[in-house]
Amino acid sequence: MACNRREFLGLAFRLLTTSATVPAFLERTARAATRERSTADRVLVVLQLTGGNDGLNTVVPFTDEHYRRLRPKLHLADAKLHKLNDRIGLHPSLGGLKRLFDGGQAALVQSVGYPNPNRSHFESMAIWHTAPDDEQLRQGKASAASGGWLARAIDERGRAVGSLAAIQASRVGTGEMPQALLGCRVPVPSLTDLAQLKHRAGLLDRRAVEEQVAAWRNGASSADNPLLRAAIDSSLAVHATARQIEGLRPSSSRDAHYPDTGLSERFRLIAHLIRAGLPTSIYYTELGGFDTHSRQLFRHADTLREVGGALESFVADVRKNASSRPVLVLVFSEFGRRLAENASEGTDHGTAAPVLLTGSGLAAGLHGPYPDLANLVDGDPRFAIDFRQVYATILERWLGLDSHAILGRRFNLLDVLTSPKV
Amino acid sequence: MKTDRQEWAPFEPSSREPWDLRKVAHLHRRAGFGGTWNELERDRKAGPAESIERLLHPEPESPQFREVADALKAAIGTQPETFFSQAGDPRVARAWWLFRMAYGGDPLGEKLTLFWHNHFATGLHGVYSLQLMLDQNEVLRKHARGRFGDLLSAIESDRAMLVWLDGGSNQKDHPNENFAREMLELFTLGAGHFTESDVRAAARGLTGWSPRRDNFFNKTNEFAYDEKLADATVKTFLGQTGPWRRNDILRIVLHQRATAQHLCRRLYRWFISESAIPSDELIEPLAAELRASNYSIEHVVGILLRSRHFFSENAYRRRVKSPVEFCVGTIRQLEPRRTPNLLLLAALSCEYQGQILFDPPSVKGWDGGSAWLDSNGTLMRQNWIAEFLSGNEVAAVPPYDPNEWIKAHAIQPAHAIETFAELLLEADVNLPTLSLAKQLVGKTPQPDLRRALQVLLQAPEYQLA
Repeated sequence: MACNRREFLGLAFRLLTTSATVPAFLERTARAATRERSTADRVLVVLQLTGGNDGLNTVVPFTDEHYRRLRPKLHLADAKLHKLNDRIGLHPSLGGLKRLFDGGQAALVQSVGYPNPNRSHFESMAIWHTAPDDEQLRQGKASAASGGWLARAIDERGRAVGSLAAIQASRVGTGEMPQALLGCRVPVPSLTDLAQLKHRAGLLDRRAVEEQVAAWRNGASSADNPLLRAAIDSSLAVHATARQIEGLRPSSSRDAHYPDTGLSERFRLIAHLIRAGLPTSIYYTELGGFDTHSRQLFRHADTLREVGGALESFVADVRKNASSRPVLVLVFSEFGRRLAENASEGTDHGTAAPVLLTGSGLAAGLHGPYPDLANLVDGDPRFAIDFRQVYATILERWLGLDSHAILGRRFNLLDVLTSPKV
Repeated sequence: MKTDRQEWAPFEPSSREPWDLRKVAHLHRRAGFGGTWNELERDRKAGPAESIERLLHPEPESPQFREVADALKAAIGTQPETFFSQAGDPRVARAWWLFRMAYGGDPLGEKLTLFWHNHFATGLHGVYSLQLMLDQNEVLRKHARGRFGDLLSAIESDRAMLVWLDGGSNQKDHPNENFAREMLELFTLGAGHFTESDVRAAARGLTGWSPRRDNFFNKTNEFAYDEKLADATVKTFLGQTGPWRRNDILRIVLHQRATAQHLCRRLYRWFISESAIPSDELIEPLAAELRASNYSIEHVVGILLRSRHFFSENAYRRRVKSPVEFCVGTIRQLEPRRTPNLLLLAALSCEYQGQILFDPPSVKGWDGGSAWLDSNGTLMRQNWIAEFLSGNEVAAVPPYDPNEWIKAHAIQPAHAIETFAELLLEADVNLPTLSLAKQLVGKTPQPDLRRALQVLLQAPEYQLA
């Protein structure tokens, strides 16, 4: 087939405004929900800060002499910080988060980590995602076999309740599914916008679609190739999800105000899905850009501003427009960064760091000990709170699940969540 | 039970294991992006040796193809970068690469270039310069089937990589470990084959780069290597002690058996199977060949493609098509009329499916395998198929016309759907799907093959490579 040069030159000059258009089908499909409205269900939103967020420049120990001395270029000036007390202040970009603190809707757990810290992004992230047992942690290994901690939580809920609605958890974003959600018995969809949830029937009418789905299902029993099995399961899940989405209530309130950032768009979508009555209780989203080995100051300020702005808008939105669904947001990163800055005006991989919780039901303020910058291990402050204690607290006190069954042992719960067991 | 060495012996057709459409189609999907009907017919007659030889040593690019590809690349945009905007349109860059994959004469070269893009995964979201990404892409293409040592050295000094993993600001007073760590963990040895102190030693040894400045404040994307800036003190790296610098670090890392094994495992996953983790016994003969050939990629890829193992059930449909393979393969095989926005729409769909060329999610690349089959990815595939067949008016992409394809290949209309099932699925698809496709063709004088094609292209079997 001959190449036509003119055809391809045309490529550069046509802007594509197609394909991603938003049909606002939720509004169009003003259909009453057929499912029972899950008013009392609590929602957990996990925000993963990918790359290793610099905890020390996020929650700043501004009076600490070691901080100032080892960060000659990167330490943040006292005057600009949003002070939480006379020792600790939030990064200047985190004004939104400070207002959440002042409103009693945010809490920080300091010095969170785990023994035998791993400084590889992937290994450490896998450890946070899978919450391995003590023996695996001693070997510095994540557990690939047992599934993610949220996947185990979903299965545990299934055991407790007996049956599960189709969409237990949703991941909002693109790329690989986070390991935390892998390995549970119900499929977890991955969404980027509402328009995208719409399944195009293409040239097939409803009857042909039904026959197509029946043909897939027919193949499932005989598929001994695990990848074919996965392709069939995924096709069936898409079909089931499309059905469920068609049944959603239209959004009743006008959209709340969010900053114009990618993360805010993802949080806006989560709020929309909660309001529309999706029964999902766990949402997961990610923000990258925290691997600040060089020229950290500006980049870090920008990414933190995106975090603080999105969280403030989201918490206000769900509080106002989805008051029947209490929402808790967990914000973590795979590790903090080294106390001493490097020569590229950045910081290298570290260990313990603060974990942020925001939303409802919180004992607001600071929890856990201040990082002890005078006693470093390999250049990093020692962890004081095991991240699995944070998970156990959320599982028990927010999701009402047996943390022992999910994490393999009991942990001392933190007093960061005030609400009683559901 | 065959020994593992026999698994890598060349496949010889026999009456029990004939050289048939299934094997030809499998070869083209893995070594490239799926064969056209003409290629499949040709290679079915030619036999395995000649077919594989043609993939390994293709004809040089035709001047005609080169002209179009270069013109398209030029259209990406070359205006100078400013503080506020980055030069070039990454969407056009993606369409340009898809163009090379879909219409170029060296599908294996493009498949390997994509392999290396995934291996040395570098992304716009950290490099901020499309020009640097395009330059890196040419480095990957140039060395795609060459010697891994040359490629590793070229990548270590590649500007996009120097920005991406901070190799360009790794100074001896304050080493930046970013590149050293990822090089050991992902590019060469693999996790578990080095210690934290090896990371520190490698980072020190790889110092010597510094960014050029156009004034005191502004670092540019140009980097200079200066022996005087390199840390030449004695260090112990992977058990060897000496005043190691850049070349020594790369030499020592290539000497490790783990490096050859790690690379062979990556190649195995790319060309053979994503559903099984190969045993050490299966990998070791390949790794030995890689070391013995001074890390010749072409040598080992040749062994893989010719092997019994490659043409066995261990490999057949044991990979999931990546979004790029899925879209390029469909376009390559169905040969739609070439309209300007066709490849842009395909690139956009790949993005929705989770594969953004020039911008993988992290230095780890794309996970591949069943990770492509999350419900978002599958939904986006199904929607792209619907769009491809029905056309997109806004983008001026007409509906696909199966009758043009049938005429071009002189297929009897009565055999059309069987032929499409052979082209796309070697007719190996579950029976209800095939019956539904046949039933949807209808018996009208102008049968609508597109509905049947939608069923075939959305079949779970078609998602596999």
